[in-house]
Formats: sequence, C-alpha cells, structure tokens
Amino acid sequence: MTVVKVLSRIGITLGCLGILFLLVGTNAVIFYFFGPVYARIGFYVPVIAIVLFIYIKKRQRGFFLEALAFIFTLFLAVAVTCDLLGIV
Amino acid sequence: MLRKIARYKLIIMFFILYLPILGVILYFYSGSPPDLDVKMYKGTPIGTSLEWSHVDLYAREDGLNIVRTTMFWFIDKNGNLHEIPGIKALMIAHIQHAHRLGLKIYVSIRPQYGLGEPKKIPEDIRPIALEQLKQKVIEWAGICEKWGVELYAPIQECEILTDFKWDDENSATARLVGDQDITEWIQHVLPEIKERYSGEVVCGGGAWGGATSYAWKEILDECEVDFTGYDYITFGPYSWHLKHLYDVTVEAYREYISYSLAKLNEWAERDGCKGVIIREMGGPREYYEVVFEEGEDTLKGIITTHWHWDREFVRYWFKERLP
Repeated sequence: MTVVKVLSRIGITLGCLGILFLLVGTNAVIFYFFGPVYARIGFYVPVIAIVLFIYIKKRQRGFFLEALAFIFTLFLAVAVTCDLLGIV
Repeated sequence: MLRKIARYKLIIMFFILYLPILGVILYFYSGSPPDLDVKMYKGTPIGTSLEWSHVDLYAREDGLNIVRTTMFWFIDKNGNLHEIPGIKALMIAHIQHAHRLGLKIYVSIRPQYGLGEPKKIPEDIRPIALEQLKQKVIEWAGICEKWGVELYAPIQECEILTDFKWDDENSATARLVGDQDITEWIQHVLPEIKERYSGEVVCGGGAWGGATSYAWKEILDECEVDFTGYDYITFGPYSWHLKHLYDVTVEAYREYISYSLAKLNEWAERDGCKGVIIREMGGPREYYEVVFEEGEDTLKGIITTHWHWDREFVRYWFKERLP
C-alpha cells in the first residue's frame, strides 16, 4: 500500500467523520428547536437507512462506503447505548 | 488464523472501538444512591470541574454528605424554554458521580430569563414559559426518580414567578418571595411531581438579598406562600457583596439571618414541612459564620459555596459542631 493510498484513506475516513458531525450538528439544531422526539427521528432514520442500504447492497463497496457504514454503525451503537441508559 | 482475523477485521475493529466507549459510558453513568443516615444535610453546590475536583478529593473527609447541582433552561423573548444539547447527559453524569463518591445529590431547577441573577419573566410571556417549565419540572421529577436523586427542588428561586419588590432602585437585590402566584404554581406542579418522584421535594423561599434591602423584614412578614406538601423550605442568604458593596455590618446580617430563620421555621411548622435548608451561602467568613451560629440548632441542612476556599473552618463546623 503506497503512502498516497494510506493518505487518501485517512482523508476518506475524515470525510466520513465530517458527514457524521454534519448529521449530529443538524440534529443538535433540530433538538434545540423541536425537542428530543424530532431529533431522534432525524438521527435514527437516516443513519439506519444509510447503514442498511450500504450493507445490504450486494455490489462491490468502495472504501468510502465501507468507512461510512462502519463509522455510522459504531456511532449508532453508542447512541443506542446512551438512549437505553436514558442519558440523551 | 491471520486469514480469519483478516476476514472478520471489521467486526473486530468494531468491538475494539466500541468496548472502550461502552466502558467510559458505563463508568460515567453508573453509581447507586449511598445508604447514608443523614441527620443534617451538609454540602456544596457543584457545577465546574474545579469544584468537582475538590469534591472528589476532600468531600467525605470534610464531612460533606450532599452536593447540589442545578438544571437550567434559557427562556427566550417568546417564553419558550431552550435546553443546551447535552446538558441532561451532563446532569445525569453529575448525579451518578456524586453517588459513586458516596454523596447524596440535590437537584434544583433554575430557569434563566436574561443574564445573571434570575429575573422576573415578563407578564405577557409568563403563561407560556410557566407551562413549559411545568412540563420540564415534571419530566425531571421522573429523571430524578430514575437516577435516585435524594432532594429535588422544582424551583430553586421563586423570584422568577412573581414581581420583585425593589425598595430602592440603587440598592438592588431585594426581591419579594411571597405572592399568590408562587403558591399557585408550586402547588399546581406538586401532585404530578409526587406521582413520579418518591424522594424529598424542596422549595425555595426567603428574602434574597441578605440585608442589602431594608425591606427584608417587610418581605418576610408579608410572605403568604403555602409550602404544604414540600419537605423542606430552602433559603440562600448569600453574603459576598454585603461587606464590600453595601457596607452591611455583621450585626445587621446576624439580625437578618436570625429573623429569616425564625420566620422560615415558623412557615415550615405551619405548613407541615420537615425544616429549613440553606441552599447556598458564602462570602466573607465573618458573615457566613453567622449562618452556622444562628442555624446550628434549627437548620436541617447547610450547603455552602465557599467550602473549598475555607476548608478548615467549614470542616470544623461540618464535622465537629453540626450533627
């Protein structure tokens, strides 16, 4: 694996994190104006949809989709944990 | 073997990342209410990490058995309440942190209109704000029950519910805590709180301003708040500004404290409450020493903001003098 490839993957991963933060930021705004119910819908629906869409889709996934699905799944697990504990 | 690891690398990576996060979450949100036999609540308010660091290290050693934390919302110009995202999680972390340290926790609610000290909510937006506040207060009664909070104050400072009585525009801080609006609101929310929360419920009272206003006696005499159903009445005779800004003598402060405590205990007895708790106090030592001296035999709790600045003195009172 060349240095360029490693750097590009780091860049892609950071891009995926950026998408995640964008989603979280949008939901913080939704939470602030509309409350937790809409923020939950605004978070769970798109995240679950994206994760399912990427993992169920059979064709070859690129690194971007793989990283996006992984990061979203991880964050989803953390969010569900916090939600079950009643802390969000 | 390596091939198997490579095959399941995503799942392995998932658990490597998720388990530490899970550990951190469980650490911050675990903790059981301590089984402490408390004759008198002795504590400090917390809020910043600095105060927590002192609580972590010295609270038990200095005889503290409770910490007070405050949940707040901002009220906008239309009367809507806004919560800072993440504040609820932070508050629950505070509750559980106190429990892990073996301390009880007192959660008070303090909606914020404008900046600084609590201000009156304008008449036109008050119904909207108070209705939303009621919903929040009831929701928090459920949260307090779930996380084992020992003391819950649905309203920390009643001043926001009524008009302030200013005796002099320049002398600031005298506020009327004694109005029909307060009784209506605190009694209106109480049944639903009691349905959801089984711990002790407390309510703010007393004339705030600590003798800077010469109307404090009038304020206390005129007070007609009905505290029935609440376990404790709280009082916040903060004194930091008295010496330097208002030139109030220790003797005048003693008179104010002694009269206030007598009055508050009278209300508590009248309304069937268990007693009076000082919810916050601080300032120069000679002033807050007065509260210890005057309240030694009658108070059911003292929460002082200045504990970590004057540990020796507060420890003497908490450990050696008070029950």
